[in-house]
Amino acid sequence: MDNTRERGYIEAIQNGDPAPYAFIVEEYQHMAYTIALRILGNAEDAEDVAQEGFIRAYQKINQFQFRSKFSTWLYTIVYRTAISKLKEGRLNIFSISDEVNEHYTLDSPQLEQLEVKEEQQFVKQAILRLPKPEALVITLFYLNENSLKEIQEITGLSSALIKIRLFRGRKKLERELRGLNENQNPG
Amino acid sequence: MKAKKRSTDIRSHLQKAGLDKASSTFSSVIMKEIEGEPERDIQLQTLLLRHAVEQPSVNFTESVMDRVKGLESKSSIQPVISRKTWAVVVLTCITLTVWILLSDPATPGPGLPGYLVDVGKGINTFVSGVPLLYLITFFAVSVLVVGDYVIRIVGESRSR
Repeated sequence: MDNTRERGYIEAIQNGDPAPYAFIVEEYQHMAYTIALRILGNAEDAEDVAQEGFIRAYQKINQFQFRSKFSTWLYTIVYRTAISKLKEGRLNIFSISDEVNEHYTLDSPQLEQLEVKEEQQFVKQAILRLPKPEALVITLFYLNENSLKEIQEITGLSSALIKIRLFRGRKKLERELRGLNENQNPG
Repeated sequence: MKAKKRSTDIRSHLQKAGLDKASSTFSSVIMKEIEGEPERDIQLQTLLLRHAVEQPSVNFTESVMDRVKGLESKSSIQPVISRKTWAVVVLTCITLTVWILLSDPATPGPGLPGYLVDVGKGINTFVSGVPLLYLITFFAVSVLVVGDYVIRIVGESRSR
């Protein structure tokens, strides 16, 4: 969706027409759901939180003044909704933030002849094995192509902490996926 | 005793051996990571874009839009008199009543219209004829009703 069309939809919604919101939901649902899933680690909760995020964004849409990208604004709401959900579940945010995944292993399995589905499964497993905060930052940086500043805006984390998580996450992923890359580009 | 001596020996040997040296680019790599905007590893990005985006349920958009429409129908039922108007009416009534009750209807102040003097006289006559207990009960019930209304408004605005 180009910026002009997106702006048109948002302005129409702000003027009281809810119909174009379907296009917005269609456009951003995957990333919103992915962010929620990275934080919550549970598909059912992630779906609820992503929906709740969209509803809250709709209710607050008059507060959006085009000062940032709409996606950044939306994902900030989804992020906060997911964090609230975590708190409701009495999970300790700080222990999650600082968790070191004990099951994380540096050993890649022997990757030969992987089919696309298996490859997909392998990549998803590699991300799942990352500690949640690192997986989230990696998701925003690589999948949504958010800048450091935008990630700061969404998560409220400091630039230094984001960089550290990005660095750690990338290194772990590279190790995990090394076998896959070698398999794809032999020689 | 022997164990303590052995431990001291090991420590002194380790200290003599010194620290391992990091590579010559160690500092520059760290500083690059700290100072600059992180660089995207294109290969990693391609792989993640292809496989790491999660799919919500098929009817995700429909579910959200159903809830949005629910919100719309709820908000379309609006009271005829807004809360602001009600607040103005209540404040005006309270101010007028207090003013009339506190002023002496026998000697109206300058500028007080005649009909207000009549209303004041009527209220005074009515009040003087009603037992004090009734008035206190009426006042207490009014306070409770207004309190309930205010608490509900605050509750509704917080739940939104």
